[in-house]
Amino acid sequence: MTTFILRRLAATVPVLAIIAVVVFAALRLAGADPVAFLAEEGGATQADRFLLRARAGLNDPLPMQFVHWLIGDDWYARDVTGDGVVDEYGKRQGILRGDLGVSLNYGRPVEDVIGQALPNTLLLGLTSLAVTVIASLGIGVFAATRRFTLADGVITGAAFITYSMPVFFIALMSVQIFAVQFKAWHDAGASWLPYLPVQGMYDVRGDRSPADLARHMILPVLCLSAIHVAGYSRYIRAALLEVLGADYVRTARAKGLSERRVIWLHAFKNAALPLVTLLALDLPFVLAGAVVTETIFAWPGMGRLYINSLEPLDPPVVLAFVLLIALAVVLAQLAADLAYAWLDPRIRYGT
Amino acid sequence: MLTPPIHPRSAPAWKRFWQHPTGRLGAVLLLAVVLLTFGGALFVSENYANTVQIQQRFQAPSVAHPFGTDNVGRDLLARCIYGGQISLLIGLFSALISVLVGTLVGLVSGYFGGALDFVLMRLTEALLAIPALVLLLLFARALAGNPAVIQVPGREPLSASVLILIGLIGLLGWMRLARLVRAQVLALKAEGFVEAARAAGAGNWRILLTHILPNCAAPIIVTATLGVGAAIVTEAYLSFLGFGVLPPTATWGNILTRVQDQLDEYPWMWLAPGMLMIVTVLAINFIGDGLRDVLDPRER
Repeated sequence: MTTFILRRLAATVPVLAIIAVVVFAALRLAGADPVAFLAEEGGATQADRFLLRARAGLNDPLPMQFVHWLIGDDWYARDVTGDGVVDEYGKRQGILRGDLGVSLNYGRPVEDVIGQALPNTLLLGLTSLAVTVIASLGIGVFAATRRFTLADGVITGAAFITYSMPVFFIALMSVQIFAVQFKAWHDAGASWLPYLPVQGMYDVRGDRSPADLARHMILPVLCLSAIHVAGYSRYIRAALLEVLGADYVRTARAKGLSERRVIWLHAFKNAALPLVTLLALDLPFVLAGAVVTETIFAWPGMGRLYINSLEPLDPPVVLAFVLLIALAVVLAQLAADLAYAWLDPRIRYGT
Repeated sequence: MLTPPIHPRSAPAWKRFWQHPTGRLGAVLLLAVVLLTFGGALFVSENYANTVQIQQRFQAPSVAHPFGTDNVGRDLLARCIYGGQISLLIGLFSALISVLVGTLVGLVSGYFGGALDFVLMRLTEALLAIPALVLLLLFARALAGNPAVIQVPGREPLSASVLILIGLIGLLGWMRLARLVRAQVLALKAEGFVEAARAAGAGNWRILLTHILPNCAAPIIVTATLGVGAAIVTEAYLSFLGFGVLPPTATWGNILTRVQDQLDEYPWMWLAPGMLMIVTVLAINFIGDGLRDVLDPRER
């Protein structure tokens, strides 16, 4: 098993390397120029800017810039002025040595910036993941046990439509209903009707209580979960229907077990097994899936940080964000394989 | 010449597709959308779709403006018609690019194997390890921000960002198909008819294109169909977030761009383009569902 894990980890190296090259290339295409803003400030001459660019390593050959980004440039004697004399050594340590750099937009280390956004995204993402699992299991089992009834048909139709909806449409619609309409009704006299906030994590003048936070989470969680629930519940329904036709289910029924026990104890366990893999594979996308939702609801998480780091461009944050996601995906795939082997005794990975 | 094994089927595929209830529904819905966007252009000029009438901004749907007007007073019906054309074309052409690249990578990787296979599959894994939207946002930010326009005869100038986005969405959407085709090729490579073709003296590319490719047609066609819907939504995400198609060109996605500022007051600004997009994607998903059942009964 250890050999298997080690081999899998080794196999992720080329994948991460390719991602690093692709992202680095994209950032260079975007023309990331940390001194471009100086033009607006005035006072900076062409020579000043050339010097600043040179000191930041932007005049080095492109492959060299990539190497510096990876392992730092504190060992690299740089001739800043171009007169053939070495002027100084770099100051960066490179991402492989744990130096993610300093955010241009925030002026703070990238670790700080991400460290502030990550918990907010995880809070939102893990909550919606829990909602997704519970809702899709419930709906899936409900639909499977009522196959070809009206209720099943309605669920199938709703799932198909939800699955075809872009997240922002779900978001805009739910805002319109639960925030705008509910507030209108609330103001019109139905004062018992609560309406939901649509911006940020807390009320501006609120008490920052958990209850306030929960209220702010309802709509974003709804948006993040809806499409996944539509997909997973179809999956659970299909898997359960398949299992319900298996011999051991017939045996369980023949033993005289109640239908409830048959479904939840015998069929459900096997039907839900592949869900573990699906979930593990989708987990990292929680980080990124929030890009749209967080932007709409002004949620101060990773997704919004990413959008804000694109314009004006903040290369260190963009790089760190993408690599973090890639790393999470790669590790989650490994975890999914291991979890599956652990849950299903028929699967054994060779050493 | 040897032909691949033919599974006898009682009726031609299109007939069986037409008998597929959701497949037919999807085809009818998609036809309706195409009629609206391309037929509607006969009644409304593109110039009108781009005409700013600032004193008529934020008008609710009325007889004069069935879908209402946007934040600078442009008629939303006209914008949905011309924007729909661009959205559909973006979907179609980027899916086409994805299918071409995905099929080629899958065929080559599966058939030739070796170092080429290793490199291509690592590239595939790498691109799959980052959510497509994240990578697309970055590349769109890098490349599509140029406000250049292309003169198209008989039409309003087209933003060059349309072409760039088609290329980007296409080039970042081929990975799943490549894996599918590769798996199919690996299975087919061992089949008797491939060996027979080789024994008959057929070259690698001839075997690939005339013997193996036709047997991969089902997943390719289904993926291509679903890819059109996915690409339309992807463009909408990019435009919605402000990194998509630039003005003056309209798409369903960039009609929605400014919506966030007026989230609560003018729901018609997002309702019509959003609904059109959903109907289109739903129709395409239905068609894909029908095609899968008809072409490839094993893939369920």
